[in-house]
Amino acid sequence: MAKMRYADMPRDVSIDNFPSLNVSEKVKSKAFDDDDKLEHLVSNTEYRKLTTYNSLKKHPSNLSTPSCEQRHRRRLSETLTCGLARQCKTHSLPCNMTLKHPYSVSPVDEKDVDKAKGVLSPGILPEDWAAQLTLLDLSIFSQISPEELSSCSWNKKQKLEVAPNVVAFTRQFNHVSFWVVQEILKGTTPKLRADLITQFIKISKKLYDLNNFHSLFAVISSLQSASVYRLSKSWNNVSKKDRQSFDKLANVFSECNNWRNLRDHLETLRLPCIPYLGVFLTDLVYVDMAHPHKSTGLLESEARRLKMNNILRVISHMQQSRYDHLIRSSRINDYLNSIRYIEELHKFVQDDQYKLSLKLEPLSCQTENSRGSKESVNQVLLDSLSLSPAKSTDLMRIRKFSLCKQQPQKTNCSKYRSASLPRSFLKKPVNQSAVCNNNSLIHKSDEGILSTVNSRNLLDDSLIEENTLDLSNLNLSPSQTLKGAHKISLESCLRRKVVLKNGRKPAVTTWQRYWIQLWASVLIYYSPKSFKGCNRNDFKREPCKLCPLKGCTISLGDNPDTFLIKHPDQRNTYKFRAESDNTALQWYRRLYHAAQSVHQPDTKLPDNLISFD
Amino acid sequence: MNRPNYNQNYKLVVVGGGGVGKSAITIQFIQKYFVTDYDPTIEDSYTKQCVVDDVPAKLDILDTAGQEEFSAMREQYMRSGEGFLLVFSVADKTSFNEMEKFHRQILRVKDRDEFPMLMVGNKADLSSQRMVSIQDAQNMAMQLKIPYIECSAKAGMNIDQSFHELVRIVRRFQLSERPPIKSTPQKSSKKCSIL
Repeated sequence: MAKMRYADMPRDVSIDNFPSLNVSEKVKSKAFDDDDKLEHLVSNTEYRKLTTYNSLKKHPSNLSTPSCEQRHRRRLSETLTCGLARQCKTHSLPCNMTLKHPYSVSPVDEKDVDKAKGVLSPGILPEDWAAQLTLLDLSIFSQISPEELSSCSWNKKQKLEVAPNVVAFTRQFNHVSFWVVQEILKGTTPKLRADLITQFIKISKKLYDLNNFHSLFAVISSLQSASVYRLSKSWNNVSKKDRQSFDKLANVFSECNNWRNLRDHLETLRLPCIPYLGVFLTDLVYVDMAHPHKSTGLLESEARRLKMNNILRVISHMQQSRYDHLIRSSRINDYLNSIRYIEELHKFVQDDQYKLSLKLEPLSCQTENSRGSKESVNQVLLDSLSLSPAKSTDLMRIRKFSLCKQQPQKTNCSKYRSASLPRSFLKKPVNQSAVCNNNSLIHKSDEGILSTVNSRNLLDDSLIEENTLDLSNLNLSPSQTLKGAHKISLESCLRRKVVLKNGRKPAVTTWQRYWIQLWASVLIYYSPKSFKGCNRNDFKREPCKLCPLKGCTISLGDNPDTFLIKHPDQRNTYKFRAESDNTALQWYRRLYHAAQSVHQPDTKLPDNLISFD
Repeated sequence: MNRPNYNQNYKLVVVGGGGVGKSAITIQFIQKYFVTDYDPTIEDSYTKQCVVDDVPAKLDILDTAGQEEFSAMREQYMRSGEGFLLVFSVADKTSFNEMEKFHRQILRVKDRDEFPMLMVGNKADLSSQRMVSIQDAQNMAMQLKIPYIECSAKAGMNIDQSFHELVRIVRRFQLSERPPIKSTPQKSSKKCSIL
C-alpha cells in the first residue's frame, strides 16, 4: 500500500532540472527578463554553464566577489549572442524536458520526466539535494524541546503527544532512508543502479560538508541496508574512488567503541550542524536507567539532572545552527516531502524493497565461468555413492560466505550460491512435507535435512510468497516432494563444460569438475576443494549451486561417457562427462526420468497445503 | 590448559522493541549494580570482560536502546554483530510479536539461514502482568530455531546467564563455520614414496 502511495505521488521535481527554473522566487524581477531570454537560448554547450550560473545564484555564499557573477553573466551572454542567437529551442536537453516560463509550469506535463529520473534529474546537483535535505532537517530539529528529550518517552506509546518533534525527526530520517533505497532499486540495470548509488554517495559528501549528520546517516544506512548492500553487481560498477568515499563516510557512523568516531567528530565541529540524534537518545535512555527518576536519594536525582543537562545542552547548542546561505527550493522540497509512507507499515515497505532487490539481482553464481580446473580428464576412480547422514545434512547448509564481509564490492560475493534458485528454494518442497506433518516419511533417514530445512522456511516467509522461482516453477508435486525430494538418487563426480550459454557459444570453455547429486529433480553442485581428486571429500561440503531440471532436455553425447543437459528457458546447454561409460549411462537414465517426471502435470495439491500464490 | 583457537572478542547486539528493558539488561550485565558516576558516553561503557566455560571473553555490547524508531539504521548495526539477544517483555505482547521480524531481519542482513541468537523474555518477575506465556515463547523459539531464556533485569535474574549462553552459541557457531584444519595424521599418511 505504501508503495502504491509512493508511486502514485505526483513528483515534479525534475522541473527543477531545467536550469531556468532554478531561478527561484528570490530572483529579482529586474534580472528576470534577462534570464528568460537566456533560458530560451540555452543549448548543449551552455547547459552546464547555465546550471552553474544558477547554482551560483542560488548559493550566494559561493560567490567570492560580486564581480564573479557579473563576469559569468557577461561571458554567458556573449556566447549566447554570438553563437546561438537564432536558436530558440533547445536540442540538447533531454527530450522529455520542455522549456517553460518558470511561473507557468504545469506539473502534469512534467510528471513523466520526474518519475524516470528522480534523484538523477539533470540540473539538480548533489549539493542541491543535500541543501534541501538539510533545510528540511533543520526545520524539524530546531523545534525539538528539551522536555521532549528528558521525558525519555519518544519510543513509548504516548510518543506523539509527549515528543512530537523527536518522532517527526526520526520519521524524517526513515523517510529519507526509504527514498534512497527506493530510488536505487528503481534502476533497472546494474549500471544504472551504480549511477544512483554514486549520486547518493555524492550527496552524502555534500551532507558531510554541511555537517548534516542526520540525513547523512540516513543515506549511509540505506546504502548499507540489506536491500542495497547485497547488490554486488551494482556496487561493482561504482568507481573505486566513490566506494572509498563511501567507506570513509560509513566509518564515521561505525558503532565501534560506543560510536567513538561520531562522538569525536561532533566534538570538533563548529556550527551549523545537525547531529544524528540517535546516539544522544541512547545516552539519555542510559542516564535515565542509571539514575531512576523516582530515586529516593536526593543525590541520585541530582546526578540525573546533571547528566541529562549535559546532553541537553549539547543538543540545544546545535539547535542554534543556521543554514541561511542555503536557499529553499520549493520544488525539491515538495518532492522530498511527498516521499512518505505510513510509519506502521515500515516492515512491509522494507520487505517489499528486499523482494525487489532479490528480483533485480537474484542470488546467483556469477563467477562460475572463471573457475576453471585444469586437471586432465582421466583421473581417479569414482568414489562409491556413500553419503553419511551427517554429510547429507550439510547438503542443506548452503552457506553464504562473502557477503558478511564488510566490502560490498567484493567481486565473488555470491560465489557459493545457487545458480538459479533463491535461497529459500530448498525450504519449499520440504515445507510442504512439514505442513502435512503427519506424514510418515518425515521420519525417514534424512530427517536431519528435513528439520534444518524446515526451520529455515519459517525464518523468512516473505521470500516464499514472492520468489520468482517458486514451487510452481519447480513443479515438484507434493508426492514427489515427499517421496523423493529428500533422497539423493544419484551422485558422483562429473566434469561439466559449457556448450551454449545464453544461446551463444562461449569462446573458451573448460571442463570443470563438480561433485553432483541428483536430488529429486534438482541437480546439486559442489565445487572442488583442490585441483585433483574425485572423491566426495575432495569437494566442498556446501553446495555451490542448484539447478532444477524442469524443462530440460537430456541427451547422450558424442562420446559414450558424456551426456548433455539443455535448459531451454535459459538457452544454456552443458555437456557432462562421467568417469566411465556406465556412469554416464546411469546418469542419463536417472536424469531423463527426473526431467520426465517433472514434465508431468501436477497432481492436485492436498487440501491442507498452503498455497503460496 | 589448551585454549581453543577461536576469537575471544565478541560483538553482541541487543535488539528488541522500545520499552522492553534492553538498556536495563545491558546495564545490569555491565555494571552489576547501579553506580552514581555511570557515564554512557565514554568509550568502554559497553564492554565487559568475563569468563565463560573457563575461557575468558571480551564482550562488546551494542545496545541501541532509544533508537528503536530509527528503523532504517537497524540493518547497518546488525551487520557487525556476531551474536544477537532478541529481547522482548513478557508483559508486552507486541514486543513478543516483533521477535520474528527481528529474527528475519538479522538473517537477511547476514544473508544466512542461521545465526547465533538467543531469545530473551525480560520482566519475568512481573508474573501478574504477564501477557506472554512460557509455552508461547518456547513455541516461538522453536519455530525460529533459537534457544529461549527468561530473565528479569530488575531482579537480576538470568542476566549473566543470557549473555554467557549467547557467547556459547557464538562459539559453537564460529567453530562450525571455521572447522579446525584437519589434523595432520591424515596428510602425513600420503607421504611421497620414491619409486
